Amino acid sequence: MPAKERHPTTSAAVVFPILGNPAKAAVTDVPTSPGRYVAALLIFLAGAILPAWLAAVQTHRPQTRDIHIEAYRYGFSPSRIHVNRGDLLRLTFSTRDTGQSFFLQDYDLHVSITPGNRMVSVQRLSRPDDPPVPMDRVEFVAGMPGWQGWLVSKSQFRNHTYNGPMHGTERGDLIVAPNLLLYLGLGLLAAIPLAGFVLARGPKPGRSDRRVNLFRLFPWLKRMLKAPSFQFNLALPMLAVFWFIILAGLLGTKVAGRNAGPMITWVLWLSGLIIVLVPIGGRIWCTACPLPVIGEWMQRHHLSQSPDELENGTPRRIFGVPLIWPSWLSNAWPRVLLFLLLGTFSTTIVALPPATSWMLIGLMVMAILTSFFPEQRLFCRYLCPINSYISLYSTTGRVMVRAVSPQPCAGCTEKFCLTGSVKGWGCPYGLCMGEVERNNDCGACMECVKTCAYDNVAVFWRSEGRDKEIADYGEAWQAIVMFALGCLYCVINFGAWDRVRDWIDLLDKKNWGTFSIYAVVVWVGCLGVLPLLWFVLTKAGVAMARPAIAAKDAFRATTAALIPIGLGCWIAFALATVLSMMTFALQSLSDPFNWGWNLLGMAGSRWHIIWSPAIAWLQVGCVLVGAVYAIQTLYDFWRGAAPRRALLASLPLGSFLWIASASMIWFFAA
Amino acid sequence: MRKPRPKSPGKRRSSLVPGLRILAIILGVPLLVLVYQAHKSGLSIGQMFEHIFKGARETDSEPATAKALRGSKIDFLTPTPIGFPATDPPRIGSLEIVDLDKDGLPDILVADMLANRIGWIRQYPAGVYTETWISPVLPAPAHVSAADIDKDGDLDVLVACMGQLFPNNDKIGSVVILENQGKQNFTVHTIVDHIARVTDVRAADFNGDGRPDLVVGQFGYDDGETRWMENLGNWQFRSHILQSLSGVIHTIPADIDGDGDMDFVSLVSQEWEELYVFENDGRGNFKSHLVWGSTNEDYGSSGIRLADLNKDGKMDILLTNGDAFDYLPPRPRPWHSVQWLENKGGFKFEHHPIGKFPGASGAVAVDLDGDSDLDVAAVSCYNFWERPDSQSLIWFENDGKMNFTERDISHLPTHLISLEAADMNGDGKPDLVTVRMNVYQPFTKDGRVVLWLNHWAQKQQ
Repeated sequence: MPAKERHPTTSAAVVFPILGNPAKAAVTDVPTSPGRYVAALLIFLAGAILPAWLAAVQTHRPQTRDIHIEAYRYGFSPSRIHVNRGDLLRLTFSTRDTGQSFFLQDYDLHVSITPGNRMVSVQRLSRPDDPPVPMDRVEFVAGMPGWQGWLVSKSQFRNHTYNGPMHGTERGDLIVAPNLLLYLGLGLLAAIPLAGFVLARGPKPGRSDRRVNLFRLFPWLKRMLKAPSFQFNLALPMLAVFWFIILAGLLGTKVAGRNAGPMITWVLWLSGLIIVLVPIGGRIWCTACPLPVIGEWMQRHHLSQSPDELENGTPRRIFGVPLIWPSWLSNAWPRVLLFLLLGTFSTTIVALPPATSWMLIGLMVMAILTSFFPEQRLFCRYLCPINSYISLYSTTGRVMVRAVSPQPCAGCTEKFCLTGSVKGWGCPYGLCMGEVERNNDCGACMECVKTCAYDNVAVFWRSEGRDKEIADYGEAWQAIVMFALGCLYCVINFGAWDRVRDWIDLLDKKNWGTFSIYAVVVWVGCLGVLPLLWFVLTKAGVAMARPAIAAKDAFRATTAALIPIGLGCWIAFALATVLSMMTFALQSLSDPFNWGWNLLGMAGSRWHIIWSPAIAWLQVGCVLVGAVYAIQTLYDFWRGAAPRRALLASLPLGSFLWIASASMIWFFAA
Repeated sequence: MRKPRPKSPGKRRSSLVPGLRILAIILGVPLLVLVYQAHKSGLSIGQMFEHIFKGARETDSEPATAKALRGSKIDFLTPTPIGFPATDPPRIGSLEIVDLDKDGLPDILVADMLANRIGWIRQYPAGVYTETWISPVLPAPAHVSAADIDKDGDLDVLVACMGQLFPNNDKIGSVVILENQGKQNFTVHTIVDHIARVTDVRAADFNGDGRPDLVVGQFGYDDGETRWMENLGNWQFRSHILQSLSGVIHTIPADIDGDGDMDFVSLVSQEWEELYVFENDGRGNFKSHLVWGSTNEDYGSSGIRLADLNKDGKMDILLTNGDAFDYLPPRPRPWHSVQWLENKGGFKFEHHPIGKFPGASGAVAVDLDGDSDLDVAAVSCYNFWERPDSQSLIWFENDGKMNFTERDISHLPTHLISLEAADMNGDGKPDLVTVRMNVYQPFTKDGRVVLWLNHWAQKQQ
């Protein structure tokens, strides 16, 4: 497919420069006056200080609270304990079913609870060698000592006694008032639109979008990427790891927390992808992804035997049926729906090591099967559910593959980057490098770096800016679904609402009925309710501002605002996951199958949560940063579409983004 | 309009080498895993394959075959509670009948996981049982046995401490020896700690140096181990890890191959559900043999005892499976049963069912009816306790040809975890002692330790 057809330039991109090539927008770079920055800074300071003062004056006199905590699979009652700083908490415990524990790391406390016994065994986590002390009541003062007392208001208690496949989700919250983080988070969130308004009232801010050609900085990088088998050599070790993960999931322990399969996949890889690889590297993971390796080898094997057949001949046939990838599947929808499907079953997949393996096997089989079609990387382009995440959020990535200069591309008639040359393969994603303006579609395979006869393709680092174009409705839905799932994962996995987790427990409670209702709600919510709400709010903005753009185009374009806030929620999710599970991940790297290996000497290390008191702060920070960019993206769009009424037009969707961000801040902090 | 298709590089590259590299990855990774694990576990590749791919075994998730005939109940055992009265639902991990004070009267040692102490139920004078604590508070003592470790002529007490009864992967297990100072005053020696939860420790001289060594079974949760600890003297021991499988319940020393040195048998539960014999070369070098395994990951292996059941001169293995700790609430499974593995020599064992017993948690080979063959008495910890006809203690009467008749003994007390047999009152007939582990409903305080005196002859008259 010609690149022009592959990426038809949208009307929005033509009308509104912010949706086009950010490099072109750099021409209108006008600096904002320092006074406005000072004013914005003052607003942020007020947003931080006022709530802190409010939180301080809210303190109550300490009192003694007797609280009985009943543990059960998989939850605590009460699951949320609200107290004031300085309260003396006298906790008694019981278990409804089996042995449980009350693991409260912030307070150095681990209480083992046994059935039919009011006495509990208490240990200080900092003194693991001390014998447990039998007690009938545990007493401590609410609030961490010293300066941490003011900063840490939310502490999670968990169960550290294995009692079933979902035991890792058994948790509750101890919330100590005054909750500085909550007030601060909401105060800063309130300051964002105000500060943004002050900054935006000046001349239209330009985007410097400075790009650094990494090939100039690191010539060795260029030499490396130009090596004929660069990607294959990179992906092959990954294939070994991938295969190892599958074996661990299938043959190793059934306890997910001790199995390298789920631990590498869902803790190390997924968190690494979300926190580091995508926000920094864009689609750099795709360069090393092992999923297409076998299919691509098979495909290129055939191509190398008879390229002319594919060039000029009819489509390949199997049993007389022509292998033609349907055009109605040539968009973002299949991968979005597959991601949604995996997301719906994610709790089960994560908790069951063989499920992780079978999922990976399924993806590999899909990649191989689609390699029978003549088009390359069909799986990556249209089916890969991981790409549903990567392609969307790679738009924020700092690393990108682009043409160095537009002139050689304009004069190039051969389009070596698209069709291939003696130096390398044609772009397996069907892209012409001269027209690539965003990270979404480029799989960073680096073939164009090799094939370009003008040496006009390079890897860049952009210090500012991001891609904001939403090319079609499939991508719009992709942005909505990913945002919704990011929030949902946080609620399901980190919330203190065990009832919800019970509803979707297919593993040992077999709650297929409630799970079906949950699945319907998730699918209808992600594909129907949320897009409808977004459209209604967009239409309200259009009605108020009356811009020269149809509501449906504005709907599509404004979903770009969900990318930063969605990414913020995903990073918040991944941070909490990796920090709480990292010790398990290191254990399982040391003993991948749980067969008693100790490859790295960490097999027997104790579980603890890394930076436990800081997690809520990091999460709130992610949401705030996401909210800043989301509101900015939205406002920038309307400034292009309705320059005089941008604020009015932004109001409905901006309110939605603000409320969604406030809800997530409340969720993480309170 | 025809779509342009990507071309291959003009210079044709060989696809053979990349293909071979992919093949090397696909074959090499599992092979590497298999070889490494086989090397680490000491098993042959074949046994390793069987260990990993349990489907290669005969399936046994079907309901256990009720090989034993049902017989009528014969009341010949009289229960008598002994030891401390319970103030809470009792939680005894194990017991051993031993004459600790060497006064000629058998006593009973119990590992109390509620008090976290070792109780010595001393019989003195005959027929009078008085319990005292002989240990300080220990972290969840699961197993107790007695042996003269320091060769000073009195019996020391070996304690396996789990650290915590309920599942935990932390290194909270320990092995403690209570050194008998001669008058049943004990000094505590922690032999090893900060290891995966320990469920069994027994003594035997494995390296032929005259000093009793230890074999330690560590259940852990996901990362158990089996080790033997070489006695260096002066309460110093050196660990030798033999296997790193989770779920070890029992490690029992015995001369399995009849070569004069002490081997040991290990029962590994969890997802493995396997029996291993560790063959000793007489110098403390062990070679493991996987002698039996279940295909059913929920088999629920709960314990083994060694006895020459068929009296052919070779030590057989009595096996129970009825652990339902994984389920909530813990309920019996159709395959719970009592069985024995006949030692055919050469580390070959033939599996024979004895009879179904829901929640079977322990069994002992004992000639209860005095007919010179070994019957089997068994207890259950996880039966259908709401049904009055569910038995916590039964016996399988042996007709001398290894055909068994199942006979009820009692429904109460429920939740019996273990039992031992010995002639407690010196009447020449073996009596039973049972202990109770009540960590699930229904909760009652009775039956902590019960002595079942055997009145077989009187009943037959």
